[in-house]
Amino acid sequence: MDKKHNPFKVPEGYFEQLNTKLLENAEKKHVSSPKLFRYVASISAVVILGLSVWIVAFQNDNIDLKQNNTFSFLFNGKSAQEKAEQEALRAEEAQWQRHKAEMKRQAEQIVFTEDELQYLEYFVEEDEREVILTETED
Amino acid sequence: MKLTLRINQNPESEETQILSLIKHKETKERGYGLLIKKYSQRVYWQVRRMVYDHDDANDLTQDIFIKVFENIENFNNSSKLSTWIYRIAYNHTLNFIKSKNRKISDASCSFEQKVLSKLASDSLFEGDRVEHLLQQAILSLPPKQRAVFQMRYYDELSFAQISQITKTTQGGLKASYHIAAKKIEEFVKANCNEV
Repeated sequence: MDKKHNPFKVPEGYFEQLNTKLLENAEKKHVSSPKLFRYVASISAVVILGLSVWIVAFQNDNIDLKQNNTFSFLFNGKSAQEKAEQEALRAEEAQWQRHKAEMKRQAEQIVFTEDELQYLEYFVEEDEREVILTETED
Repeated sequence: MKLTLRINQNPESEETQILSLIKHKETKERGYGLLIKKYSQRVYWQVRRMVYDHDDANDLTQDIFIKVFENIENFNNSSKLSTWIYRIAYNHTLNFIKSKNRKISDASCSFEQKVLSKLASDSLFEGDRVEHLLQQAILSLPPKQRAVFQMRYYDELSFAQISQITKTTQGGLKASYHIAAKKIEEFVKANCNEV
């Protein structure tokens, strides 16, 4: 270096400062880059793994919900209609049952007179005679 | 335990003694001091001639020595300590230049082009026009070839030493140096009218 002309210069006192700085760096406790890289890589791997598991689990839940909501829209639509019809039928049935009950209650409250009962008996017998006559004719 | 070691003038024994000092806790700091004193300037100039800019060279030299400090306890004497340090410097500097060129998307404005454009106005470059032309010629070489040329021409290292640093065969290095010298000669001849 000294034999060939060196056109490059350094600031005054540079090498003394450089040596001091280098010695300071030497005294600092360095975590070696490969070790640091290993630590960072291990921690990153754990974090990424945890995140992946969480995302997959969360995504699956969302997918399930989404699926339920998507398909149920198709199926629930029909079943909702059926349900409405069923509800209507049930309501109608309930109403009929109430009507019958009412009729029965009213019927139980009916009190026939003696004459009315005899009249009714005559008609019942009349029906019976008619049935017998019809059968004998055959 | 007090360790007293006499530092010999023999470079190889000097290296051995520096390593011994570093390996012992009580003398570690002293070992580092001797290592820095012995190699800091050499490393700086090796880097500076590759990157040209003083600030870049300063940062890179510090990075290189941090790498040296981190790995010196694992140094297995497979080569000389100086060779090992210069190899770290060589690889680190090449990686720096590669990364600079990777960041520059425009091919017409490479790292070398940028360096050259700053060279004329650089207060820490005291070369005349001939020197400027020579540096321009050297900058036109590919980075690895440039490094080989610098180590041979300026540092006057043997091809055997350069071979250990660059992990290239001596035959390849000789060919590379010869081609580099020829390119520089042609460049200077072609552009000497500008001087």
